[in-house]
Amino acid sequence: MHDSLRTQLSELADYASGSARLDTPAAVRQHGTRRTWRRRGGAAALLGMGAAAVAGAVVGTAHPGATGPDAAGAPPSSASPAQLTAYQTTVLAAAHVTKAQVAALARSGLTTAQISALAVATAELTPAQQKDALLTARIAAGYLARLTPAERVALSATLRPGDMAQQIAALAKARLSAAQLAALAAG
Amino acid sequence: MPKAEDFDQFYATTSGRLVGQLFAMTGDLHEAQDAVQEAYIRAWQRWPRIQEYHDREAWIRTVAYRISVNAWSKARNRLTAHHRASRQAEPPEISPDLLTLVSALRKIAEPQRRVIVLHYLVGLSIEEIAAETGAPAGTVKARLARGRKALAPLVSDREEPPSPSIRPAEQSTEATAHA
Repeated sequence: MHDSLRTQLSELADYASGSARLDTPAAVRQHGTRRTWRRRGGAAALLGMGAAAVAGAVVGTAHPGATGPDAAGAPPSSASPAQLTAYQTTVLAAAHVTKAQVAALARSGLTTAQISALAVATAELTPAQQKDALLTARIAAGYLARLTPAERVALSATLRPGDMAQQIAALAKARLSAAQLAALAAG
Repeated sequence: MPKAEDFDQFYATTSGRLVGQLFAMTGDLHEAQDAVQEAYIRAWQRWPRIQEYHDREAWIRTVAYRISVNAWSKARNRLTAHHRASRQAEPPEISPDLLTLVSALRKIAEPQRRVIVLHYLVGLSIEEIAAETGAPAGTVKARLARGRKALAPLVSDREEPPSPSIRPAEQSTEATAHA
C-alpha cells in the first residue's frame, strides 16, 4: 500500500500543480507591499496623522509626485536617503510629532547626536522644568549636546512649553539622518 | 541576490509544488491555491527574515496549512475561491483514481491527512514531521498509522489499467443521480 499511496499522492499533487492558476510573483509582492503599507498607514492614522504628514512631506521631497504604496514599497537601494523608514514613521507617529515640530527642530541645525543628547537631558528634568524651554536648551548645551550659542537660541525658539519632551525622545529614537532633517527643514 | 529576485525565484520553483501538497491536505484545489498564495504574500511581508530560514518551503507550507484550517479564513477563502472559480476556467479533468483518493483523504481526520501527505508526498521523516507540526514524534506515528489504516479500504492498489477521465462535476452529478 505504501508505494501505491506514494504514487497516487504524487499524481494528485502533479495534477494540482499543473492546474493551479497562481498570480505572478510580481503581483504577489505588490499585494504584500500594499498590505504592509495599508497596515502602517492605518496605525499612523490611529496614532495621529502628524508623522504621516511628515513622512508624506519627506517622500514628496525625495520623489516629487511619488506618494503612496509604490513609493514606499520601492527597494531600499532605490529609496532616497531623505525618505523616512517605516520604523521612524511609527516612532514619530506614536509620539504625535507634527511636521511643524520636526521642521522647527531641523531648522535649529541639531545633529542626530545632539538630538539624542537633548532627549536624555529633557528626560531627566521634572515636568515643571520641562516647561522651561530655555532651561532645557541650556542643560543640553552645557552638559550633553555641546550646543553653540546660535544652536541654543534656535533650540529655545523651537521648544514649546511642556509639549516637546516626548517628541524630542521620539526624534532621538528615530535617529533621523542629516539628509532627513535637511529635507524636513526645506519642506 | 536582490531580495525581489530571490523571492521571485523561490516562488517560481516552489509554488506549484506547494499547491499540490496543500491540495492533498485540503482536498480543494481553489482553497489550496488561495492559502498558498496568501502564505507567499505574508512571506514577502517578512522576506528579509524568511530569506534566512533554512527551510523556507516548510514555512510557506505550515502557514498555508494554518490558513486553510483556520475556521474564519476557511469561510473567507471559500467565498474568495467561489468568486475566483466563477472567473476562472474549469480545472482540467481528474482521473477517477485521483478522485477516489481525494474523497478518501477527505474522509480521514485533518491531522492524519496532514501527516500522511507530509510523509508520503513531501517525504519527511517522523522527526521532521514532528518539528513541522509541533506534535510529539509518538503522536505523529500514531496519526500516520491511523491514517494509513483508515485509508487502506478506501484506496485500492492499482492493478487495472486507468479508465477514461471524467470531470469532478460529472462525477458528483452521477453520484447524486444514483442516490
